[in-house]
Amino acid sequence: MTVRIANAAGFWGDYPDATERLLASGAEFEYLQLEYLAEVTMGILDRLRDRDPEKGYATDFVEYVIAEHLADLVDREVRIVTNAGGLNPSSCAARVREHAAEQGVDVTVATVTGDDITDQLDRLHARHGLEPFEDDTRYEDVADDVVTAAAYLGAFPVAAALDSGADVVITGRVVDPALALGPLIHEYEWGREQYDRLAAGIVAGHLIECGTQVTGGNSTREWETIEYDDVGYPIVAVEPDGEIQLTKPDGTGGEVSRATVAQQLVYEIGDPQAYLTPDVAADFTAPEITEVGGDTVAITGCEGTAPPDSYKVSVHFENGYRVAGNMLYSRPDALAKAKRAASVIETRIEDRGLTVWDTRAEFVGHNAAHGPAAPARDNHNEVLLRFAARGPEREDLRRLGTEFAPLSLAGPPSVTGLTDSGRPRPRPIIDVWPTLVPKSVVDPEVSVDE
Amino acid sequence: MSDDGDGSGVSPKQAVRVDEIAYGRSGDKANTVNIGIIAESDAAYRRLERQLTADRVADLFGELIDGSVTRYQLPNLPGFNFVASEALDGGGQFSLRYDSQGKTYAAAVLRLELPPESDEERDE
Repeated sequence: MTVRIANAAGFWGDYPDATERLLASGAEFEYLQLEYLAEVTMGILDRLRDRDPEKGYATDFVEYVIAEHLADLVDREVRIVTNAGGLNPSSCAARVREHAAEQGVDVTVATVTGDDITDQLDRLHARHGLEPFEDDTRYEDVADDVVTAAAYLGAFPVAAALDSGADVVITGRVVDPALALGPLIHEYEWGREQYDRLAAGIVAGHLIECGTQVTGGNSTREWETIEYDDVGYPIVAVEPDGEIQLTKPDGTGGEVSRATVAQQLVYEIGDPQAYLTPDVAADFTAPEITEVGGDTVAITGCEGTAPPDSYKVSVHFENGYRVAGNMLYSRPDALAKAKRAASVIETRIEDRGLTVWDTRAEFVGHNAAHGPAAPARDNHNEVLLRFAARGPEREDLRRLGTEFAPLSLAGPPSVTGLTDSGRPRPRPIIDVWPTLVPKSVVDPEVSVDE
Repeated sequence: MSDDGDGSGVSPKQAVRVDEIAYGRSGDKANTVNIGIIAESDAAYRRLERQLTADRVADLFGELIDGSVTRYQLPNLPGFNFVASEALDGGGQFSLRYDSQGKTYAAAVLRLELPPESDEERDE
């Protein structure tokens, strides 16, 4: 027996028709895994929940996966595992049940929660002393502005939800690879101390969690040769002993090779010998990657050791406002014109007494991506000025947003680009403060069709 | 072009751009950026080990990185993971940079030119 897990979403914003394409491809798999929660997504979900307490989950999942394909997935006996629940898994589950009823489909829906520890933060800090994870910002500096705090749960609650017969498992914050490891624990009854196998599940999950980024998308190696139309979403087949094969549906674009898999293995990791999750510390220097032909790659020899005794927590907090606007300047002397325009905005900020913490002028086509790492040049056909600022007052940044358009009449010549969008508007910044909490203070909860 | 045991067709006696012997990908975790660089061959890996140091990467990005750069090795790929702290102007939502998540930073490392190596450097 081999368990096959397909991915059809690498983030909230991925192709809405990914599930449709996967199903149409005829590829076979037992689990469909969809990942929606980037760090920056949590802030967006919070704003949506503020406006409507029924929201706060990834609506793409309900709209494009459940509403359109639930009956088909159930018919094929595919079970769905997703973190689309975001800040509101129960509301997401309720929408799924409504759609199931409408479609006349009988499904068991489970949620995995307990990740939301917002209400316990102050008490946890008093008892355990929450420490910063990456710089010297203290909890006291962010405490008053916290909007939500989520612990990254592991895969065992996901497995427990499947053990209780769930066809659809909707989680809040779990480590992304848990969406694949959970089904494997459920199917193979892997134990909590079978670290090498748990590590294999983490590697498999890590490789597919960004969807098409492991099947040719965003690969820097010989990208010119890759077919980007209809890049196939990844499918991992994992054996009971932890051996992995990664592939994509026949007849799709993209590429599965050592290179595409190796690039995804190193994506968004720290110390490769200790990829930390609540269930295992996976060693990413252990697996061997071998091409076995036909857009299929084998990943073998995964190893892991005991996990840390803490959960990582992302504390999301309000931290002022941000605004950004653009103006396009053409040749000749495009860069010089754009720089003069930026300096006019700087002067106006000062003259009007607008409060900003920082400003940043970037010149798209010149240095916006690589800054000082890009070679200097001065003969551009055109340059897009992108001017951004952040500060404590929404009103001051709203006023700053009115400083772009007048430059078309009052600033350097051969400028355009006012019709794409209106005045730039400030947005609240939902910043993140990562920390750790002892595992003992978090209680993962599994609810099945209450 | 002579091989000199490099396996990639690029002699250590010649300058080489990193993307001639490697490829890679970068991404973010809060205010930290990581840049994974994977060598095309064992010889390329050894050359990168000697020449693509954490300091070299830190120098390349200059003011974009406020913290420090640590280089980890993945001999199984073979490749490296460069982890730069305080590297994204506050990270995802707070950053004022267009590339607030460091998605393009691997491309900058891949455009680095490594100078020719003397025999002594190779024997080190």
